[in-house]
Amino acid sequence: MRNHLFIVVIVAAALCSCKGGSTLSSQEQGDTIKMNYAQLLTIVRYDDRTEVEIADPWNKGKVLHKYTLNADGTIPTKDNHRSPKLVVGTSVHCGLLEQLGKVETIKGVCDLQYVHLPRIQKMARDGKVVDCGSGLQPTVEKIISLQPDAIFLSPFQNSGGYGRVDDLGITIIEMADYMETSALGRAEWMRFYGMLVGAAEEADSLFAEVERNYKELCSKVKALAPDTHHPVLMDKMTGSVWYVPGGKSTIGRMLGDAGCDYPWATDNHSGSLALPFETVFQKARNAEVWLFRYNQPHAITYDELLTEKNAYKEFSAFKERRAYGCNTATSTFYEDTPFHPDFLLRDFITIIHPELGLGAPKYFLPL
Amino acid sequence: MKKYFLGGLLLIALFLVSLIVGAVDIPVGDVFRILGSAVGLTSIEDGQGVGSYIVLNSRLPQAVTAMFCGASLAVSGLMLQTAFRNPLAGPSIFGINSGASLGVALVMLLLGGSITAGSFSLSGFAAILFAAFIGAMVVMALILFFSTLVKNNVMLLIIGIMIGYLATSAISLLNFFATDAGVQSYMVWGLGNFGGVTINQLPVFVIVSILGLLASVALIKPLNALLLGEQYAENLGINTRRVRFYLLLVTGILTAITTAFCGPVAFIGLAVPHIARMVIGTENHRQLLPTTILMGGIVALVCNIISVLPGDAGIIPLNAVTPLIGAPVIIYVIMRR
Repeated sequence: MRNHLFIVVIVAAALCSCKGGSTLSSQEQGDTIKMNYAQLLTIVRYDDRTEVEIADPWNKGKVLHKYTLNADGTIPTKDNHRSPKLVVGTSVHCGLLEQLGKVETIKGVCDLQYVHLPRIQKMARDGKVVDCGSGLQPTVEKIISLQPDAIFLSPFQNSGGYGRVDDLGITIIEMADYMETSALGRAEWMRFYGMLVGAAEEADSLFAEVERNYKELCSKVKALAPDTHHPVLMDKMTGSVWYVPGGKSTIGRMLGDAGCDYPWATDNHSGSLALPFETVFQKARNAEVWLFRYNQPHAITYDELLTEKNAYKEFSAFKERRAYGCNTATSTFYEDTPFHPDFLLRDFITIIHPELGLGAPKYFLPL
Repeated sequence: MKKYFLGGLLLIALFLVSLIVGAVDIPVGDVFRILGSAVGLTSIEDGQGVGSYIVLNSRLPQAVTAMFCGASLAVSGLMLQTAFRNPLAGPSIFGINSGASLGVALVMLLLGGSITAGSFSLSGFAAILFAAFIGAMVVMALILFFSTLVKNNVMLLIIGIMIGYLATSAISLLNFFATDAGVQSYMVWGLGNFGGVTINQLPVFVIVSILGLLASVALIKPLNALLLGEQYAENLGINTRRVRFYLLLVTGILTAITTAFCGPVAFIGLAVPHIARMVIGTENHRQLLPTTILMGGIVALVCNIISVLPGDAGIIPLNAVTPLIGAPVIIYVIMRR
């Protein structure tokens, strides 16, 4: 009986020890690459490979995708050519690859008409980049004909997968960076993307620069008088709804970093809040600055704002002519800011704290 | 008569509730003081400026819009159900809604939210309003044109439905190739909204609606004749083709104006005539048509109140509320037949 008990204890101890260690590999000891801000990424380097786990942002504790890459972290390629061939689903990531000096890896893009990058547009005209249709439903035949090593696509909650693209046997890089809740967390994903295309060092140094810029801007704001208040109103109405960034959203947090008093700062949502006019009017009518994004071919005017909603004229920021609009159709707001939150933070601080003398805003321009 | 009186009281009560209930908590007493101050009976304190603006410039036009939109859509539904002897006919069945939707989709998804032609330029709500109205009127003109060629009502209905499908096909195409922001704006417009009409635009909306409603009252006699069947109506000396033309014109204008200002509001036009029939128990349009107008206003106000019930937490889209009332009624009608 005592012998049996001993065997049970030994087996149990062995099982427990197997559970410990890395979540990516039960046996080997890998070298985990430390992520300082990105919470969804785990990258572990082994002697012969690199393993990456993307945590499922919608189901805590679950894994969205697991990748086994080359030892240096690059995407395995079929014919050992140096750079992988990619189809990239968003202009944001095309822009990042361009910054990392890896634009030639892009062989196909989705939604080409919305890629506001001259280099990509030229490559498309020259036949070096193919438009693979909508990012939500890429044209499978074009992808097959390109024979890429990987496709970069944005995951959507409960979307039912990527349809036939799933069955092509091509690695799908799920760009879940937009689900990170901190601006630097999202930007840090550039280290992962850089590693995938063989530009890990460039990406690390670019991120270090972004991080340094962001922190410097934060410290400049902190050095200002702490008792001044700068209430800020964000965005404008879409039909009957006023979508404002939640208090824990990237923009919500960034407004805090910029020294603004955001009326929804105490809110706990990481996405947008869909609010009726009354609520926004009550909370933010006295905001000293109004920042909003819009999408149209030409720059918006105060008169045009009134044709959208006459009640805008009741807001202090409108009366004082302190409204700043970011035209996402003509600026590179969506291309730049996910991986350069420092640019956006600089914009906010420039507008809220002109006394710091940071120059003119880049995206949010006065009307 | 008693039913009309009770209906009128209910309408007034719901109208007042619409002014009291909203995302921001304004005490009932303050609401009445604000209303009193608007007509010069009372005065309000400085601190009530926000409440005053919300009640008079947001809730009041919204409640009036809901009332007239509900009445217009309901009476349109009733006229179409009688004219086509089809209990499931409604303002959306002839593709007029789809025409308005296509107009809006073109502006929002293709033209970037504004219309420019030479020195003529519209943007924002004005562009949406213009596009929806033109879209609706184009489809209505098409239907009226076909109504002069096609005698059979069922065939005309099928043509209407086909035109709706064509518009929907174009909308799907525009949506598929649009930006995220464009798709979101269009989706929100498609959910319906009584709150888009400003206090300045309200007179236009109300006057056109009243003219349409009065025109519908003028059609009571031929509508009653049509109840007996087209041949009986013709024996009574009624030119059924001309009546059908007028009916389509009135419903077209009412649907176009409501869809332009409020988006495609679902179910009210289809369901309210049946609610009115259940309430008064007669098909005689002398009673049924005024009851439908009254019930349209009541049902729309109820939907308006439900849509703002979450208070500070947000709003429920209008077209998520209207089927809650509409769908059970349709099921009831089907079960009874």
